[in-house]
Amino acid sequence: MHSNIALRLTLMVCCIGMMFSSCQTGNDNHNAQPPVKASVDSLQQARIKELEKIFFSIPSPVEMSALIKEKGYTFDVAKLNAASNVDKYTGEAKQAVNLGIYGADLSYAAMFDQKQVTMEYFASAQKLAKQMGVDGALTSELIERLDGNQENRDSLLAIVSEAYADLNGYLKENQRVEVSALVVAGGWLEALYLSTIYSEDGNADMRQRIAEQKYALNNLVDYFEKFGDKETLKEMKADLLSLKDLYNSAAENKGKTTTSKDATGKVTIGSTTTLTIEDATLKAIATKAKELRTKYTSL
Amino acid sequence: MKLYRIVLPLVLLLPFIADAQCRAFTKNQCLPMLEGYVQNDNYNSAMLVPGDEAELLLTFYGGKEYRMVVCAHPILGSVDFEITDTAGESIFKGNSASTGTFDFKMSSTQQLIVKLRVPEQKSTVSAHEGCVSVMVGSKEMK
Repeated sequence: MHSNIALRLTLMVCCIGMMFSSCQTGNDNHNAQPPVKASVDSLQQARIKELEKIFFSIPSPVEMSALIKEKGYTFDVAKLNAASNVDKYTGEAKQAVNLGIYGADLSYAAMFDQKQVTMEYFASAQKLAKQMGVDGALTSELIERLDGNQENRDSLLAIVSEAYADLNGYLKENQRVEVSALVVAGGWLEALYLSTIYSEDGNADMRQRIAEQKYALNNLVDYFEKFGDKETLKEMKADLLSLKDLYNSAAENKGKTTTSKDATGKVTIGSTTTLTIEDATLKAIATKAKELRTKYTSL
Repeated sequence: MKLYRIVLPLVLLLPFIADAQCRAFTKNQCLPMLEGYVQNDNYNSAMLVPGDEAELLLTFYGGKEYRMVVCAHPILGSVDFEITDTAGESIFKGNSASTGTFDFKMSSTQQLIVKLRVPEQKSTVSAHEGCVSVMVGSKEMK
């Protein structure tokens, strides 16, 4: 808690120390310099570690919902975590994960122009955030904006995405980075769960997108590792690792990055890398995603 | 003693004030640069000081168009950034002052790295900190 304060106080103490050390007389031993340099180096390392906890990104659940919509699947509210469950979640970790799950459900509803459902889930997310004392980002003003843009899918999506990015920022600036990590993990898990349901018909693009979650998952696991053995993150970290074990069977054949420009000068980035996933692995991932999602959403 | 009582709480509050400014800066100055794209809901903004370097690993899906924005408070000068693949192959170089946005299409899914570097300040009198944001927006490929 308050790692940012600790870091800055340490920096201050070090700066004061450096001021005193630079004011020493010419008779002082010059060997005093290396320890100061070592302190600066260790502070720089601490600062880099803090920054690594802020600069982190995985694809948004919106992008998964976009593919579901693009492939012609229909909206089904029954696939979502019931908005009415919101009052039943207790404990910061479970609440944070479900805040992320509701965020993914919100994106899914917004993607399908489900104005009523979007409003309902936003209200649930806001309620949950309030219970956690982090409602500074999911404001009533946003509900009003949603209300005013109900007929415009792009605006609806933009508002939902903006709200969750702002929530993420609010958590990070208030030294609740661990909560932010759980929200992001919850959103990712829900998006994975939804995509595995839709991939049951064997759609090749859905299957490929699920395989590609290997990248996001590895990134997510690495991110959780940065927090060491934080108690609040332990359960989710173990669950992500169990999924990672399954994803290890998705074989990546590393290729080369390619770039080209179209007539307008816009760059297209591609790669000859291939990622393949066996039916059995896909099935195991779907089963695990369902199991974890059920565990976190159960009351 | 009185001064201590006034200054200490201010010092303790400083990171919060600074970070809150960063969030507001991101919303007001950087977010509009993503117009036409749906914002990724991750938040990658921090108060950086001259000489700071940061890296961000990002996954981009094939079949989508993206805009990456590197937006920095002018007090820091022009923040350099470079986009590379995971093997370190350079794809794009820019700076927040003149080329803060990079629009591109992805023909296949892959991870890219954005590296940021805040330039050292020529003046040694004081090192200002300022907000730097990396934002990503996406849309379906036309």
